[in-house]
Amino acid sequence: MKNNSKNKNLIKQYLHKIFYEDNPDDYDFTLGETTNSIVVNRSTSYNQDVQSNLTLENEILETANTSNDKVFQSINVNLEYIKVRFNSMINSDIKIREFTLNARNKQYQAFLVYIDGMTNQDLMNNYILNPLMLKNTANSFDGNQNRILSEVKTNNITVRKVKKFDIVEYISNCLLPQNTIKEFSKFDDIANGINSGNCALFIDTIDIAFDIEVKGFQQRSLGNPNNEIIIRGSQVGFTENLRTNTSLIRRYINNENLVIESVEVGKISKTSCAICYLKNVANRDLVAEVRYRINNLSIDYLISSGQLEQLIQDADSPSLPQMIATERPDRTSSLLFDGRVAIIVNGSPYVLVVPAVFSDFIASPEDFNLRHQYSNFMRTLRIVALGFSLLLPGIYMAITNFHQELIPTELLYTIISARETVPFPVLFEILIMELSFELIREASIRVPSPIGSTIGIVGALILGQAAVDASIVSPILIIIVSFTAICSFSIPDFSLGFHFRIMRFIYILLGAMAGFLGIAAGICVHLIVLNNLKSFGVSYLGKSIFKHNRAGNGLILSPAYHRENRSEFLKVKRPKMQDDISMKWKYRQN
Amino acid sequence: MKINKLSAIEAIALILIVTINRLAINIPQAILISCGSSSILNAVYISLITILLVYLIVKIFKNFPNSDIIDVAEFLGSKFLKYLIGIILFIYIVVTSSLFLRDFVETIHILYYTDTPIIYLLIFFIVVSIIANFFGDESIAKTNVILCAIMVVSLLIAFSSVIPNITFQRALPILGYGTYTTFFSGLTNIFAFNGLMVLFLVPPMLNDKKDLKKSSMIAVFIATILVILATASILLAFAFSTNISKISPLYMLLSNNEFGQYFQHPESLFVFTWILSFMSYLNISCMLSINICKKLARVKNGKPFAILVNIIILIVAILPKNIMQVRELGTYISQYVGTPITFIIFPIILAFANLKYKKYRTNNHDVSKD
Repeated sequence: MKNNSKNKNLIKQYLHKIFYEDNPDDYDFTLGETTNSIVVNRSTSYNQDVQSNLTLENEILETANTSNDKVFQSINVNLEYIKVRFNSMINSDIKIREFTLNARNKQYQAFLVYIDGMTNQDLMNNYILNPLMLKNTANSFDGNQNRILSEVKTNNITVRKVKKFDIVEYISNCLLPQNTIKEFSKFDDIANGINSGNCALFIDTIDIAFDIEVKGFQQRSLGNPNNEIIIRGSQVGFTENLRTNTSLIRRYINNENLVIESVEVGKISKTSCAICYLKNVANRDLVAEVRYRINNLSIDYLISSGQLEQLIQDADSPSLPQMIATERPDRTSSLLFDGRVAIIVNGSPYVLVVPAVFSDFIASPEDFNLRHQYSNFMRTLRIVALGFSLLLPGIYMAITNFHQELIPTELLYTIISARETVPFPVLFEILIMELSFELIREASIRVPSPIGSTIGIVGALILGQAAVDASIVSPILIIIVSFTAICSFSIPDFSLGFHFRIMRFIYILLGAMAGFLGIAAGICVHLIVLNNLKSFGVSYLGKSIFKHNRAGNGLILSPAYHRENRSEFLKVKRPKMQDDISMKWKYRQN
Repeated sequence: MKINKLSAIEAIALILIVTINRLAINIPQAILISCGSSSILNAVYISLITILLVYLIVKIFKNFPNSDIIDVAEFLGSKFLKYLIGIILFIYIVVTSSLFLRDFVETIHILYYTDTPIIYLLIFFIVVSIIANFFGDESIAKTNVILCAIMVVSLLIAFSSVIPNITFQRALPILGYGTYTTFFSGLTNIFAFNGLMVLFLVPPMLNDKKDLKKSSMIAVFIATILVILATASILLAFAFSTNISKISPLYMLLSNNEFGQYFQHPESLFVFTWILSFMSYLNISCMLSINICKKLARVKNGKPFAILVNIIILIVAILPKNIMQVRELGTYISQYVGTPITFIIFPIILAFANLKYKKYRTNNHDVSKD
């Protein structure tokens, strides 16, 4: 009997575990609505209705307004403030170093605040703590406290103009051998400095704090660009550090007219960004528009240039890239010389360049380094590849379903015999192969690089061959999909490649629906979308891309000596970038 | 009409596309049927007359920069004439576009989509037109430049491919059915250029008013060359007695042509370019109709009209029972409505408006119009 009841209990427990909705034994965490302390405060102090207090809007969730908080004279108060503001009790990397400062034989209580890992420890030890703490000739010297600037005697009365001793000036000018020291009285400015890798020095009795630049975080060194590989040309790419990137551009543009404006984006992240342009070339309205768009972003954080690109682009709906994203300083510099504007985001190795036209995305950075014949040959190839990668599967679909007469008779027989054993319609067949290919591509990117290439080979060869052997797809389709894939790899721009990958599926469906009529409808709408698109006020598919005497942004690249004009659509201040006769050594002007 | 301004190239393409689209369908056939072996002579004759008429139209438009025929009608006969001309124009554009759409769709239906319902094919054109007109005039005009260029190149390739099959004896007797048929009754073939009606609507769209003369003359010149070439290709490749009743004669020409061992039947590629070009034509027809509606209804945003106009075009297109009815109706409207409106009534309105303008100017009245 006991055994029976035990078994019953076990079964009951088991069923309970399975079916009972809220099993108290299960660990379950659900992120529910949390009430912010400020909301509670508001509800108690202002006695507003309950409904409005429960709505957790950004406005309410914002922390207390600290913009007016100023440094106190008392070091203890400052210390407490910093501890609370930086949550130093729970923040392990916030370091506060309290010490006694020696100045003119007097001792002051002081403390340094910094974030561990973002500062250079040697700099802090040798050039901040050492001169301030240890007694030396500089801080031990106790000369005249007040400096007499001028002295006048009248009727035995001496009038002296005296400059009083200023401890702040003394510390800044005599005790801290650092090149960048700022004095701030607001806590917000000090917090910004600490967050960006500086350290803050607070001294007793002084109502300002020193912001000393001691940045020293680990960063990636300069390396090759990963996704814009070229044979002939510079092999340096941008890194994640903003200043490194600006210096890379400065190395190419040795001119004081290169302006690098700093802006901060993100209410919480305060990500540093830079707007770069050539002041004597770039259109003023274009620069103003870029500045306007970036300054009017109401977001909490910004991590990458890709995120910024989506926030400042003209049109959201089309999947077409509307700005150039490059990791090459030489290309960026070349575009800046053309009169465009570059936007650098701290933490992102991709620099955005605006405005962009369609032909920019089929140009390779190498084009300028090669003879124009080679470049034009490559560009022609790319344009052909572009057309194939977009339309080939769709056209195959249209021809096999509606326009068979277009195929030569012998080839038609081959296709028919190859498809004889395939039980699926062409549409199904082509969608299977295209999806498989997209999956292989996606998988090879996600897996570690040594396995990535293996997956590509396995996918392409084994899966394709197996699919043919299993009569799931016809061999001709393998050729079509492979050729399309090869063509799509020749598109230099990653984002444009994505757009074409998506559009390819639409063209396949249109081809299946109505053959050439469907594809023509797709092309017509596609062209209309392209023609409607603008990038920072510039037509995406303007007629200027067909002009060849430009900076190489058209479909056809002129010889180097014939690239007299900057891009017409940029409406730059200096339309000409070289003389009509640039090779003066060869063609002398009389 | 204050819409986005067109450059000279865009204006040329706009005028051209309305004219040359008919080449692929029925213009050469109509000329051939009426004039026989003198078709080339007739084509040259009507081309010269058209060039002359276009020159005159541009000349008398000179006093009305930035005005279209509706503005001129308002100037001449106040609001009554404005609404009358506007409504006539709207109906004419919508009806001709619908009939032409049906004709074209019937042709591709016979050629490639025999099992597909006509309405299914029509919807493709209508959807493209609605989308295009939602995107606006500027993108339509820019797209038209590309598609028009493709169409012209396609036609030129088609004509040049016929050269090996040409027999010049087919143009004999040179006067065909006689002098009267070639030069008097054959004058009705000027309907081939009925599309030039768009000239009366283009001026306000131009970026530079001086472009009207240049764009019109270049467009009409290209159009006349293409009409002559199309007529010549068909006449010299087929015997004029050949009756090609249903299918486009240009298509027949291409399908009977040899393009080598590997490209046995590339005519569907040409049809592909014609579809593109026709879609552009329909977008422009719809755009012009919307602009007329905007003007008559005095509204700024014409996008809501896009669906309405396209639905009307679709309904009118499905009304005729078969292709023969469409062609009959189309030819009737072209010859007895389109040609008189384009080459007689509108020029007369312009001429009277000029007289009124001169009279006002002599009386020191301010007649400057925006």
